[in-house]
Amino acid sequence: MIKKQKKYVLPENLQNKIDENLKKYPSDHRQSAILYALRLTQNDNGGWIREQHMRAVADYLKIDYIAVYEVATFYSMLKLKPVGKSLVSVCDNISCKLKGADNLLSFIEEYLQIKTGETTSDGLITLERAECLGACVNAPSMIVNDEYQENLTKDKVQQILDNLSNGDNH
Amino acid sequence: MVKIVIDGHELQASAGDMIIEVADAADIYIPRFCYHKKLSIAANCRMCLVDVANNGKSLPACATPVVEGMQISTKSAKALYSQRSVMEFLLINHPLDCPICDQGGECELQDLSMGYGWDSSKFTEEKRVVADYNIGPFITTNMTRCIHCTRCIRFGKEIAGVQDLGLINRGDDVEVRTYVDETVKSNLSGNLIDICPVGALNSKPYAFQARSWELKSTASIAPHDCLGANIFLHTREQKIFRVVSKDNQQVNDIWLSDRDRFSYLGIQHSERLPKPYFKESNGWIEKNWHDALTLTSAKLKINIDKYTPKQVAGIISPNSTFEELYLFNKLIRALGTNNIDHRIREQDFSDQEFQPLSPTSMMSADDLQTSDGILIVGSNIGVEQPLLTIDIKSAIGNGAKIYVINPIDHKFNFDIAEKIIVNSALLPQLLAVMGQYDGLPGELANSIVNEARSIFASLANCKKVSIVTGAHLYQHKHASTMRVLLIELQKQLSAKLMYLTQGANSTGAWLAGCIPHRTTAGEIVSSNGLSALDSFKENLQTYILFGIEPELDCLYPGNAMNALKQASLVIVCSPYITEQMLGYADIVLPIATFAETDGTYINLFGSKQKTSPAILPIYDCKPGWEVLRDLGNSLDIAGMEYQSNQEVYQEVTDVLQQTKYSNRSNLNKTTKSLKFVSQSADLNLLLEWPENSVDCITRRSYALQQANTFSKPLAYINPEDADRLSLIDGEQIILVQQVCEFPLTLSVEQYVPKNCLYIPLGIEATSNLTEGKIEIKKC
Repeated sequence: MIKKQKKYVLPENLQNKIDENLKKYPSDHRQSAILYALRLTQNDNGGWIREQHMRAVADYLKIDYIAVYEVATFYSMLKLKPVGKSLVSVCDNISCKLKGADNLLSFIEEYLQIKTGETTSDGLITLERAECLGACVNAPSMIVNDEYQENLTKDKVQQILDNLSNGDNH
Repeated sequence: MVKIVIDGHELQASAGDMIIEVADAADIYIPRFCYHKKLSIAANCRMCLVDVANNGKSLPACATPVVEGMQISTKSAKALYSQRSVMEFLLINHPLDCPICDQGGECELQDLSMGYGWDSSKFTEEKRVVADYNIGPFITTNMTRCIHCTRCIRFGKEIAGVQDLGLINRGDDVEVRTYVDETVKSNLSGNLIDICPVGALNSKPYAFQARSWELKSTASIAPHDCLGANIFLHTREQKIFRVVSKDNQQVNDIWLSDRDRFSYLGIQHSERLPKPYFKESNGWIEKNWHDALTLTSAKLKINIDKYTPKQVAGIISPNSTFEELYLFNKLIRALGTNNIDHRIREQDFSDQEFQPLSPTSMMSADDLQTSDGILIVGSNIGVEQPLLTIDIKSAIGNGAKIYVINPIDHKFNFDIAEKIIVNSALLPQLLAVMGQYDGLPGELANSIVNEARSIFASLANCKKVSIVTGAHLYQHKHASTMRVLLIELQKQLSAKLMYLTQGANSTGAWLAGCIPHRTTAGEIVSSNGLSALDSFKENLQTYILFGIEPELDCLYPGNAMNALKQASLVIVCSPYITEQMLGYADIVLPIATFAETDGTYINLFGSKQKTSPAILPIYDCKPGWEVLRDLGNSLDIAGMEYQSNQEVYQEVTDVLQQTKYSNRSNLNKTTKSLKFVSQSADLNLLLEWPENSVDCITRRSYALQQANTFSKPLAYINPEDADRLSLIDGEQIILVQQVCEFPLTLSVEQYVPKNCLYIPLGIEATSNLTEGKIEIKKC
């Protein structure tokens, strides 16, 4: 017997928010809301987007699936793979690099016993490298759960990581 | 108008034209990859850089509008340097695998690198490699070769109406891909092979088969639908290697549907019959043509003497050539019967007397493009005529609104303004409501009546209205009522009507006289013969079938099978032989397919399109017209001594020129009584042919069959009906009809209207379906 999978539909509160966002754009440019809709869906689903979420967004916006897929794969802030409870994005672009971002990254890798792009075995922290965060003035910098952490030193980073490991998100 | 100079030639151009358009019109070639005259401008390959005077940088010719006095050079040192630099850049990641690439020899990148590239590259690093993936049975992917011109992506958005491909990732990781692991869905996807300028997207069935320069090209027509797309058959040593599109603005433009492009795979199929085949007391035996014709005519004569000519019926495929249709008509009438028909997918013939000379549309593709209101009635146009949806899309681009009235919610690849989906039994009533016709059973819900009136009001406000109708009308039990109402509607809206006729040459069949009530050129016969369906229901003694497989091609295949099995003589002219055919036929004469014979097809716009043979008939086959001629001669029928197909064509056109019969329909409210049926509590049967199983050739193309979506043995019903009958999705059911049972899998779908059972024909599982009541039984 063929069992059809139950289709994921965007919850109503997200639909309302997307509708609100769509008002900003011409009515025949519904694809303009893809990015917003994907971010909402990501936040609503443990920080990453599953395949069914892309379908749901496309179905709701009445656009082709591939159009959503294009956006979802373009932006590194949109995650298509599971992430830990906390997300640590370390900038390694020019200013931060000059101020020792590489050392910082390898320190974190060693401290958490993971490589860049991986998640700790307890599922608490995901480490990634990020493109320029626009915080060069206070380099080196990183983003931890949507909050900027600047003028980083090994001690400061260790403190932040310890807090995260203890379940404190900030 | 502005004056510009390109390479020293003074040219006139309209302001706003791009440099490349002006140059193309003046036959000055500028190299390009991403630019395509039928697609929007992307300007991302930069290959068309030209030198414009007083401009620091070279400018892309595809995206630079001309202005008064512009001085352009396409071959100055600066232009050439820019083009060569771009070429070097494009080749950085492109593999040098031309010797093993199918595009080699007809590759734009290869040609342009010869003409506009440097002989070596400064790039010494490693090239990037991109994984290939499966996007369906038609197209191979070699994505390492992709230069990201995005033609395929723009084609999907702008022409096919479904965006299948897109650019994923970014920067160095960018890739052209389908959504996750999906295949390409569009039924126009074969055009991607043509528009891809490199070897990234190539034909899968043609992969590693031949080199383009070895192939001979023969212009022909794809005889699978009533448009008759223009094609080139590419052959080498009596084998067809591929089909490509032939440019014809009035018909298919530069595009082809997948059905037209890949049907050739069915031509050299293993089921082709090599020699005439006869059933004798000790089994089936092959015969040579001389014996075959003598024996066939002898048997035919005996049978006619024994059972009278009235017991003979001739049924011909509407995909036959005009000449074949004419000769078939001549042969059958000479046998003394008027039982001749090509309308194998119709069941209401009550208005045939009032029909025009031929069902040619009163409009052209151009008319469709320039309409501002289009009403589609009873047609899955995207499946019946994929190429016409391109015209509809361009009409939408010009601001047209599309309205749809259908017995099932077909998915279209264009935007619809409003649609009404009702059970097919209610379609005539719905049309009557739109045309403000009184005296109706009044079964339509008020909301639907209001919607219908609102669609009518919107159409009445349009300047140019087109009404398109197709298979759901032709197959309808009350097609004649619908035809009258459509003509009334057309008058009220001053619209033009387009009939998507069934088969490739329906118009030709009407003109040639393959209808039971009129012979060639509409001349009325003394007594009407039987239609295809009636002749099967009457269980006659002799059947002559030409180019059809009744179990898969006829509307009620079960009726046909019953009749054929009890008949004393069944003569089949067919390119193929099947197990089923051996069960009902007595004589099978092998005929050539469209690629092996010359002939004429008349399309829905009435244009006569000629084909010429690309290969010789395979084995011992003969072109259909020769078989009919020889059969006529061995039956001593006068006037069948033709030397060539051209003579046949000449004769039939002469007859047509002398005709006085008008092509205007006499069909109207006064000539035809209208019949409205009430929606019964029983499930109403709605039948459709899968798009890639429309005729014997397409059914044998393995690539088309892999892409056939509707051909699974499934029965579709509405969720409410499923609840009422306590059936669940995916359940095995049995459809019971008198003595026959059809095991099918149930699919519960919202797009099926209530009280409707939607099943595919043209597949083995439903090849015994007869006219009459049907019930669902649980397994």
